[in-house]
Amino acid sequence: MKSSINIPIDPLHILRKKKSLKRLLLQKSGLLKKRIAILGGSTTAEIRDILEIFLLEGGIEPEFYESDYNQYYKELAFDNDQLNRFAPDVIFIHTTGVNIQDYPSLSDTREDVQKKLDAELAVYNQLWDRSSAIYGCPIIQNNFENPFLRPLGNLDFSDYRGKTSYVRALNERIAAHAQENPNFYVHDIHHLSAWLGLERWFNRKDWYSYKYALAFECIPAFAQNLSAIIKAIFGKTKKALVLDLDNTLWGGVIGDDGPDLIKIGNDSAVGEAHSELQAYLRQLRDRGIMLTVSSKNDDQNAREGFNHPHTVLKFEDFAAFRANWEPKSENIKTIAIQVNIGIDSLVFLDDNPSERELVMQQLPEVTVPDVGDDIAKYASILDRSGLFEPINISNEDLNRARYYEANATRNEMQSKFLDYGKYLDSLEMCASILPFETKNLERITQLTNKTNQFNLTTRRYTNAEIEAITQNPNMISLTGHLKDKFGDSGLVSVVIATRRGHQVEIDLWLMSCRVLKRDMELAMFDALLARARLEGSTEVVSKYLPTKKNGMVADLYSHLGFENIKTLEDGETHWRFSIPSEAALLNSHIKVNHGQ
Amino acid sequence: MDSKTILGKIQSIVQDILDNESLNINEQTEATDVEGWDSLAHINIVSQIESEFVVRFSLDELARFSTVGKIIEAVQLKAS
Repeated sequence: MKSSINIPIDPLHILRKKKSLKRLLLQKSGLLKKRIAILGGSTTAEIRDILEIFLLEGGIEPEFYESDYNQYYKELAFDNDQLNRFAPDVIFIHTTGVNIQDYPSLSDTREDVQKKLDAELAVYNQLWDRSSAIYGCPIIQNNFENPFLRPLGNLDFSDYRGKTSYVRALNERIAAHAQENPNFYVHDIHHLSAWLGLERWFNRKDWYSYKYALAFECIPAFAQNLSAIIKAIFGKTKKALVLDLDNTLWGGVIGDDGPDLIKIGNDSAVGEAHSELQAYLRQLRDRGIMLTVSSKNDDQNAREGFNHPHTVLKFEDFAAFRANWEPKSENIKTIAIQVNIGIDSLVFLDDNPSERELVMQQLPEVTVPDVGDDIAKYASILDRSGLFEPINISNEDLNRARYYEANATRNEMQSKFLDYGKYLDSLEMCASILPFETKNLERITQLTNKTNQFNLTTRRYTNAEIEAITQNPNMISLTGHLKDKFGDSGLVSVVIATRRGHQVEIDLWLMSCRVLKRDMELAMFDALLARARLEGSTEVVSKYLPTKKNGMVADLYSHLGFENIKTLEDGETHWRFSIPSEAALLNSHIKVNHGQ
Repeated sequence: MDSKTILGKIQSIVQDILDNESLNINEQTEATDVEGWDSLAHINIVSQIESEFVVRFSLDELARFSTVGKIIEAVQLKAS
């Protein structure tokens, strides 16, 4: 039996089989344990159970703390030893329309309504401030769905005394809070309830009988949407799409029909649907999701499709392009290596059910949505899946496509040099290596949660934890920013270390795969030693914690001249390095700036 | 639909939700007789029965579901 949840989801199947699904999903290896507090404004028991299924599927094993029914305020507003001991990694506040305290009345002036809004928000502000001060973890809260009853009819929307109008104002204030607080995330049930339909969303029976503020049948979609945020916080989202061409990116078979007769663009209904899908994919690419192609075609034919006058995607938009007659599973493995990400970060999109089945069998780590054969639904199925949920929109994401283009140019250059050192010199690399700066905290958090390969300990941090490090005088933090004559690679390396007496222990050392084999790690190590020396430390100690993905750095410490002091059964290694009193720099190809 | 068919389908639902394939129920079975059939499971079971037989129970009917037999009666009444 398959242990994974189909996409799109079958809500009734999940509700019915949740126990056996959980049993199967718990057998997965490498699950990340996280403590999640659910503080409800209505009953949350089933939400907890189904959320658990989606998190397990996404690689997170949750431990839950669940408040009693409608106790979210008490849990957060007062000292709470139990919650404190639980030490949540995430707090989810499950409030919905039923928790709105006071709607406007018809005799209210505009000022009265503003006061009611202020009062409503004051309660939440109190909870948010207290939670972030005491627990310091990310907070997720629902916004509000539209009211189910409209005593003012259609006027309910536009009149300032309308409930619908009031909910809109509340939601705007919640959005404003999220914009200002990177550790606060809105779970958008306003959208979800509209998508599912308010009539289905709220079932009076489930409310009167069991105090469920959303209908039982809607809980799986709710939990899926919520799990997407939690997975994004802990870096468990997908990074790239592997796309089929014929009858997926365009209608028809380009090898048979010819490049002019494929269906794309407004000339036909089918062509329009393919255009919509291409446009959606283009938007994913623009925010940093990599697009790649695996197609059974001659390479030349396949490329021709992107010269079509109505194509939205261009050949240059793809980070990898494999058009040949090899099995797709083989091409997908090659693509993963080429774009430097794990196979489990890939999503495969193909109209052909037998190709999907083959990939599922050969590469169970790849996510394969069951998109069916109706092209009109593909974009919506991807959109509902939450597979690519972004945690924020960083400049790094927006520029990612450009980094990969610059890398292609560098690779071309490299082939012209026989001496690798000379090639590195020819890049004219410049790095700035500095302690954490406030403007970079989000990017640093993002890197700690996304970097899997060049990562010695794979420790994940939240925004709040990264911020705390900058305040801690016993911790050393470094970020490395690299550019060269082909472009700016951005912030690509992070080191976090703790001083204990004469020792410095490396808690985290990671580097983006974008800058592998450029000696950036040597520059970072030089900088760490310089800092340690300045603090009077004489020794660096460190650990390598093996995962499925970080094999490339297993020997890093040995190469740097560390002494191996312990090797555990699971491959974990402990290292020691005596800091020489005189600095002898390891890096000789990158010009480094340590100043402001 | 005859009560035996309905019982069979309900049994399969209860087996799935409680993750117990060897569970047997009959018309006299009460929730309290069955390990794991607590209030949380009960909501899930009722909602799956509604979907399976394409029926919706009223609040009144829900309150009268003291035995599996009563549920079967309600399904027969609604689905016919």
